[in-house]
Amino acid sequence: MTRTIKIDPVTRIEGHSKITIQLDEDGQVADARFHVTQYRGFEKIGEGRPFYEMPGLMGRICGICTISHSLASALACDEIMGVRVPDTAVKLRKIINYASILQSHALSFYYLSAPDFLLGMESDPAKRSLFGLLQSHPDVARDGVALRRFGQQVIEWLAGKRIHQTWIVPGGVASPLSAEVRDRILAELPHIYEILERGIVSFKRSLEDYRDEIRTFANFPTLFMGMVDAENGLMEMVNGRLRVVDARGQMIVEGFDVHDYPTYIGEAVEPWTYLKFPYFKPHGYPDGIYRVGPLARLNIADALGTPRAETEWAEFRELNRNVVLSSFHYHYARLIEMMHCAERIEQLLNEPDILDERVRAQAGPNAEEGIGVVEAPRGTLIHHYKADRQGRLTWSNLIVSTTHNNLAMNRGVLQVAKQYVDGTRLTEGMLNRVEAVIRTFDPCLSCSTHAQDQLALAFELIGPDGTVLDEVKRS
Amino acid sequence: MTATEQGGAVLIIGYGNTLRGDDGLGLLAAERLMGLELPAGVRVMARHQLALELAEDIANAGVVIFLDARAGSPPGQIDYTELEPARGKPGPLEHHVEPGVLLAAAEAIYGATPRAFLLTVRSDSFEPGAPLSEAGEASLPELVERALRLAREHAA
Repeated sequence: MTRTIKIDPVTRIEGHSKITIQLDEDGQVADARFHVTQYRGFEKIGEGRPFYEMPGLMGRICGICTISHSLASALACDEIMGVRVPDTAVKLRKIINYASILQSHALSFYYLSAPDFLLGMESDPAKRSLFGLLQSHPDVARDGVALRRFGQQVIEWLAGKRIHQTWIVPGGVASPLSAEVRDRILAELPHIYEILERGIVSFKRSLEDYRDEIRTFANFPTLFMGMVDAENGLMEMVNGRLRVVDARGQMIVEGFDVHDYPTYIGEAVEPWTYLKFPYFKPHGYPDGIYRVGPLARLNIADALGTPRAETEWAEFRELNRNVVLSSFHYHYARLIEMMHCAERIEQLLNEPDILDERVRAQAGPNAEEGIGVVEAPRGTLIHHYKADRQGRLTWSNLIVSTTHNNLAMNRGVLQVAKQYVDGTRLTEGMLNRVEAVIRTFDPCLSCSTHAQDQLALAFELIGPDGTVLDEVKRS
Repeated sequence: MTATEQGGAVLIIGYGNTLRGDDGLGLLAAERLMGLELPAGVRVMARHQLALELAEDIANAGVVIFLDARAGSPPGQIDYTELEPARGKPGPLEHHVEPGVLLAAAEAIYGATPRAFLLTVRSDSFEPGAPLSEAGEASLPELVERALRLAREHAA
C-alpha cells in the first residue's frame, strides 16, 4: 500500500516547513516534496506606504539577513529618487553587507549544521544540536560564536543596532564611519582570519567522511546564478551584473543588467507550498532549474579578488575540476565566503576615502520604478518597486534568495530520500539526512514565502495505485 | 558598543521587545542605567533578546544581572531569583535563549560560571504595539534602583 512519511517540522532551519515522502507498494520512495507552511506577505504590506520607509520596513522581513533586505530595498529607492549614491556610502553599504553575510554563514555552518558533521548524522537527535556541540566540541562552538559575534558587532558599530537598523537609507547611509570604529574592526580581523583558517582546514580534512552525502545531497546538473563585477568577473555582492553558467561551466549569460531580470527569471506557483518556483526563463519550467548562494557564487566567478579566499577557491574548484555540483559543498563554500567577506571588509576599510563625511544623497521621488539587487547570504535578492508620483508604493515584487533554490531543494529531497529512505525500516539517520539536504541550502523561509494571487494549499489522499482519492484545497 | 558596554566585573543585561508593551521593561531599564553614573566595574547591555553571542561577555563577568519581564500578577511586582546554569536542559540556542541556558553555554564553552541574578517584572500586557502599562511604567524606577543596588553590592 502507498504510504507517506512526514517530517514535520524540519528542524535547524529558519522558518517552518515539512517534507513528505511518498512510498510505492514495495516501500520504495516514489516522490518527495519540501512544503513551506508559513506565509508572510511583505509585498502587500509595502503598498500605499512612502518609498523612503521601505529599507526599514523590508528589513523586518528577517532577523538574520535584515541588512541585505534593507540594502536591496535602498538600491531600489535610490532609483526612485534618481540619485547617484556617494562613493563612500557605496563602500560602507558593501562593508555592512559583508558583515551580514559573515554572521549569517557562521550561524548556518557552526550553529545549525556543525552538529551533523561533528556528532554524526546517525547520532541521538536529542544531543545532535548546538547545545550538544557545546558539550562535545566547545572549541568549535567558541569559534562559531566568535565569528557570529564579530559580524554582528561590525553591524552594530556601523549601524547602531545588530538587527533592524535604520542606518541604510535611500541615497546612502545615515552617518559616516569614524576612525575609531574603523580601527576597532581592523584590530579584530587577524583573530577572525585565524579562526577561519582553522575552520577551513578542519572541514577539508573531514570531507572524506562525507563521501556518500557529497554524492547524494542535491548533486545534479543545474544552472548557477550570481553576481559578478561588471568589469572583470570578480565575485561581487552589490552593484554588479548577474551571470548564469551551466553545469559544465559554460557561460549562458555573461552578465545581464539587473533591470533585465524579468527577461531571464520566471516564477511558477505550485498548489502545495507557499514558496514560489523561480526558473531561468529561456529554458522554461521546470527545465530552467538553477541554484544561487555560496555554491553558485563560487561556481560563476572568474576570481575572488582577495588572497586568502582565492587560494581556497582555486582548491575548491578542483573538486570537480570546474563547476562543483554537490549541494553538500554549500557548507564548504560558506567557509570560503566568510574568509572573502573578512578580507573585503579589510580592503574597503583601508580605502583612502572611507572616512569621508559625504555619505547620503537627498531627493524626493523622481521616478516611478526602482530595482535593487544584492547578493544576500543565501543568494541573489531582488527588490522591485513601483510608486506613484508622490512616491507611494503601488506594487512590489521580491524574489528572495531561498526562493531561487526551491526547484533544486525539492529535487534534492527526492534524490536523498531515494538514497537513504527505505520504507520497510526507518531510522533517525535516514530522516535526518533528508532534513540535512535542506540545511545545506540554509533556507530562510521567513524571508521567502509569499504567494501570487490566492494563497493555496492542497491536501491529497493518494491510493495504492497512485490515484487521488480525495482532494481538499483551501485558499 | 557604548562606553557602558565595555569591561566590568558586574554585567547587567536588560532585554525585551519594546514593541510589545511591558515586554520591553528589561531593555528600557538597561537604557536608563546607561544614562546614570555607574559604580566602577559595572557594565550594562540592552538587548532585544538574549543570544548565544552573549556567552563570552557573561564568561568574562564576575556577576551577571538579568532584567526581564514575565507574565504574572500582580502587575508591576518585581521578583528576584539567583540563577543556576541550566545544565542538561538544552533549550533552543539559535534565536532566543533563556538566561540559565546562556549560563550553561558560558560554562561549557569558556569554563566560567559567574554568579547570576534575575530581576523580573510581572505583567499582563504584552500585546504587539501596546505601550507600557501603567503598572509597568511605575515599576521601571524600582527595577533600575534594585539593579543598581545589586550591582553596587557585587562591584565592591
